[in-house]
Amino acid sequence: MLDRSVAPAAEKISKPNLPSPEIIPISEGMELVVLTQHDQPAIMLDLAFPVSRSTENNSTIYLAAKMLMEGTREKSSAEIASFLDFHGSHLEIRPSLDHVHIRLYCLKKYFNSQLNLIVELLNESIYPERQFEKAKNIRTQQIKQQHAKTNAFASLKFREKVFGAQHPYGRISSVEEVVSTTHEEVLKFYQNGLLTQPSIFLAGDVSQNEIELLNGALKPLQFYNTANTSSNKTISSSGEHIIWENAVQCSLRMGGQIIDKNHPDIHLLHITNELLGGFFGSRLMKNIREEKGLTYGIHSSIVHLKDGSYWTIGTDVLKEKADLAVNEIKKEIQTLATTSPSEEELATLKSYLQGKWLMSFDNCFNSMQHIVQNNLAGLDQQYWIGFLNQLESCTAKDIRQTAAKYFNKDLIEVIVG
Amino acid sequence: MVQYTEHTLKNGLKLIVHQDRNAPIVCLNLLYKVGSRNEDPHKTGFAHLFEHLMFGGSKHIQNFDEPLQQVGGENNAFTSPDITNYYITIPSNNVETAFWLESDRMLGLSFDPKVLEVQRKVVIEEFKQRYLNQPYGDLWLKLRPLAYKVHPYQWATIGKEIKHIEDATMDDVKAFFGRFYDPSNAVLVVAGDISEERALELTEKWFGPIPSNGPVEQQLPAEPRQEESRFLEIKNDVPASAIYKAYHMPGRMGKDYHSADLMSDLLGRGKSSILHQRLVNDLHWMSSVSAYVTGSVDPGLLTITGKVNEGQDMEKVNQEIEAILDRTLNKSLDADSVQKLKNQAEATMVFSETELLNRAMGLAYANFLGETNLINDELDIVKSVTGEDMINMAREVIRPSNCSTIYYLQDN
Repeated sequence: MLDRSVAPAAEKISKPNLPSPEIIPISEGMELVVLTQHDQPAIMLDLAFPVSRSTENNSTIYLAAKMLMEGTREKSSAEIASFLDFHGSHLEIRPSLDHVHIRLYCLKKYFNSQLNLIVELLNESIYPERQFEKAKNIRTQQIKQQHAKTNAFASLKFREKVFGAQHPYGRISSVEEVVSTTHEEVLKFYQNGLLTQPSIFLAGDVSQNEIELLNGALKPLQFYNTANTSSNKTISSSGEHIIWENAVQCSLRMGGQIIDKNHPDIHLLHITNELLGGFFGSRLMKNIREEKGLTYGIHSSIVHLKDGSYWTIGTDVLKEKADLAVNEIKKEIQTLATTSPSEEELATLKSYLQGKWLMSFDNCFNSMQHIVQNNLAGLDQQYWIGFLNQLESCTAKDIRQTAAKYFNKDLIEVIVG
Repeated sequence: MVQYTEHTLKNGLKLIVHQDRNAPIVCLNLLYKVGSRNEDPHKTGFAHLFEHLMFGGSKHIQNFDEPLQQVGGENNAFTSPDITNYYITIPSNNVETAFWLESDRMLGLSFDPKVLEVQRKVVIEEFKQRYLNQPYGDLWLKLRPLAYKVHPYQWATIGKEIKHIEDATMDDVKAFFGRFYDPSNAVLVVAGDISEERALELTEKWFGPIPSNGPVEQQLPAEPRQEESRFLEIKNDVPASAIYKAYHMPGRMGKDYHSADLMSDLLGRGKSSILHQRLVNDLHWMSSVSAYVTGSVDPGLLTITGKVNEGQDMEKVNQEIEAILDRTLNKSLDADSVQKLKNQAEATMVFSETELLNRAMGLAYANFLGETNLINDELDIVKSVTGEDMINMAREVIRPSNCSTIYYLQDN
């Protein structure tokens, strides 16, 4: 008779096969980072251009990046879109805080033609004025939409409080900033600042042919040196409660600045954060959602940027329960910082994380996401190995001490709603 | 090409096994053939509330998540109008834990009153977070009952109103479980680093003994043909005015489903689509516009939606959309624009199948539709659609009298 009350015997979780990408030097001191898997005839190419936000405002960078799709000497905006869509390709231009990513997903059989299009966009864009007005308008709508959502606005406001309203990471783009950005400024930035020397990543069904095509395509391009960023002064301020009468829920953000990826405590910090609010079995999720039903979800996360890192707990809760939620969050932090977790809870956390790492390297496109992050932060495989070793050796006391050192302090609190 | 084998257990449970040895993990995807369309009109939101209860402990196991986390597994679930789908990803050497957990909650739940109370609150907060506290969040709560007068697609998976969730009783929960969470009403896919023999052995061991109450019999009312254009105006504090137009179209297995799907792509998928080119690119009347299909099993909706720029008259935008549709239906499509749609479909499929979990879900869903090999055949079906098929279908679907239009107007 099957005994359903007893769990099947568990085995030790194996370590993931960490991907080792091939690094191929190409012209002008640039490198190509390649990871191959031939199961599906698909390719991803990511060009990451470092940007400095201290010299340009957010809207100039944003619009300059987006305008790359809006017309070249040879092709109109419509023709560019048709060309990509015709081949079933997806080209995404994503300005992040530290880079502008140009990322292509396409079928292997069309890689050459899609690559040629990207070179054309980089080299021969003409930034038509009429399209510029359209791009500004779309951006204005996006900002309005962001500023109308409690959760999106709370996240922006929180970053402003952490870094300061003048800091490139803390500045909130406004509709006025977009409207006042001129075509001339944006064009000038394209001509002498946007196309810095990129990091280049290639993943999927890649063979020698694609590598040669890419090498040949990039050779004639001129890239600028990355501008030396003057370090921006971080000025943190205390939190803020912004009341929106019509909101049904409050969005809550709590946290502050935190150590960066090169700090010796970094792996312990990530492990401890996971227990606090990183997964479904975390302290915050169990208390705030599963026990009290105050929210649909709550997460604690750590974000690393080039010039600074921050930690944030985020949740959307019932309006009248916001104070209760804040107090319970503080209580959970306090508990984690003063009482070591049980061996059983620690074991669960470790297994969960080991499994999660196994899964995050399950195919080459997912692996590449981690490689990109690592590479852009100037790190290599050792960072992952360091994490996995730390995970194995970390004790309940380590967790308590890490929580005490980094989490149990005055937090910046932003509440919108 | 997704390789797989199929089995049916004595209790009616369908099993599909798909091997992929790339990484030492296995996905268990369990699809129950129940969604919001199966609900009682006076007890809506139940399939989804039930999804939450499935994590609150089962017959022999107090907690679902912890034993799974202890062996490195991860899981989640979603509810749609047609199905409720549960999935676990787990290191392959601990796969048996997934069978143990998933089979015990098919056998029975804890039916703990405290679990119901907490999940009721969580779902009410989810209702607020996703449907009330977002700009346009209540759109589908309004559009569904406008388009559907008879069929249960008239309510959203979250439910018609919060009250239905507040009123749910433990008796309701038990009745729902007994009726729909039956092995004969489910499809299990085991995918990844596991042999067919082992998958079958574990399925027989853990799911084989679960008794069946017999297949679910349910006749859903068919939505009658819409013969008059319908209209609703909403005023709300939103960042921009928006327009929504929904047309009844064939269900997922209907003959012309793919023609309609491709037509929606032609009209509003991506920046090169007809609507985007005209309304966003040429006229600058809108900041975005797109078209898509709901893809439901029973006849669904082809939907056109977009945000209107400040200062533009909604009536004028609506007329322009209808004029564009009219022009599209009254000329033949050029070969290139049809080829484009097929290339897009191919690329979407190739990229989706790079993920093991997507393959597992795709197999379960294809089996649910009645033909597992659809996962491999569908692209050929899409490629066989002609421009003429699309136009003929669209003339039937894109009629003003088949349309429900909502003006979601900015009011602040």
